[in-house]
Amino acid sequence: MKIKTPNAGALTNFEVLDFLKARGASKDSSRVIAPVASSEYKVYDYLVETPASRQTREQIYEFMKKCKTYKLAKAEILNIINIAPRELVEIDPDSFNFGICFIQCQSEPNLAMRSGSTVGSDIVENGDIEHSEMRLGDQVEELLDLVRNVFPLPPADLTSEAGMDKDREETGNEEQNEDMNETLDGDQIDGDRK
Amino acid sequence: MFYLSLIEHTLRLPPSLLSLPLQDAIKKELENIFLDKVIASLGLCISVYDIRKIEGGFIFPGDGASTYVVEFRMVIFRPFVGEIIAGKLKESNKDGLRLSLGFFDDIYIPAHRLPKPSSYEHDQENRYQVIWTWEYDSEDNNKFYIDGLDEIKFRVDSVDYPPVPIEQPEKPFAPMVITISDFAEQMSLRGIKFRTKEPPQAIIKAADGSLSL
Repeated sequence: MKIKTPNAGALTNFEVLDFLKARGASKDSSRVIAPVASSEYKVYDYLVETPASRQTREQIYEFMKKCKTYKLAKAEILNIINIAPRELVEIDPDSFNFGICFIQCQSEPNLAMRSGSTVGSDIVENGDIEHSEMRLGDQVEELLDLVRNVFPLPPADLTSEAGMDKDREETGNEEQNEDMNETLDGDQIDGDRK
Repeated sequence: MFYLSLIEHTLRLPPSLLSLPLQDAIKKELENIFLDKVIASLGLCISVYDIRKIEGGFIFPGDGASTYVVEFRMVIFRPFVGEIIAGKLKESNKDGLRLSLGFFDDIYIPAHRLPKPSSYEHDQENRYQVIWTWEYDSEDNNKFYIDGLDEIKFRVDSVDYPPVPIEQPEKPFAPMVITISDFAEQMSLRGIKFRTKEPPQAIIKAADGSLSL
């Protein structure tokens, strides 16, 4: 066995999920008939519970286009797409404070790396909140809003989130239009959703 | 989390698969060989993505089956440095926690890596299990119980591949070591999210694809 290209492209969780679905994986009783191995099914079961199960290709393309202004590294974009953070505390350890080790991503079917640019092996220190403030400052809020806009939650999740904690910064509105760019303050209550 | 890798492999197609079309037979055989196994410095093989080239088809003298040289792409699970992964709590004892990803079951967090200060008390229901509590503040209403309902997000710090030992060690051997640098628990039921910083810890992936410390 020879490994010709150890890294022929990174995949987002969505792409792997899509690939497994195309092979015939699903949650219902047609499991036994589909040509998907049980170990692959375990991966499918794991991915179906992540935000990747609610994403679509168009959403990911849109996010890739719109996040160019924030100058995020490829690994950070991948993390954000996979986790779809909705709170500040998720973005911060999430995106900005890690060492990036994968380099070039070029393969065609690979959505997240479509722009084909190279990521140098930057190592960003494991810092704390100060780092994200230095790099983005107020833009963190905009980035969060962008994530919420591009990857909306389905209605069932919205009602449960609204009920839970009124001090959150969520709008939680599935019908949100793209031109709503205001930053929300901490005490917004979700009572006025349409 | 997932990568594509281009691999070339020389494989012998057993005669039992001769009835299938060539591509299907080769894919089946590749899955038998590679699926759910860890390849050193590559990661855990999840799935055969596609087959790029099939060459050969020669038969060695004395052999009943033909041999092909196949070039194919495979979906590999290998978290990169700095990736955040969410896992579920599987077990907790006084040495620490154990997380599961579904396809990985043995992610251990030793007790000294839990957010400080933490304490544990014995679980009434299970004999050997304990319930860990993170005392965020010294007041009682800020104690966070690490129970089975919450998802635990952790950050990968580095990935190492120790060499295969000659003799069988007592614990299952791990050909891949993932070091974690951050541990953040998501208390989604209570609507509170918090995170902590942790010094690096080791996670080891065993030959059958399980991670342990």
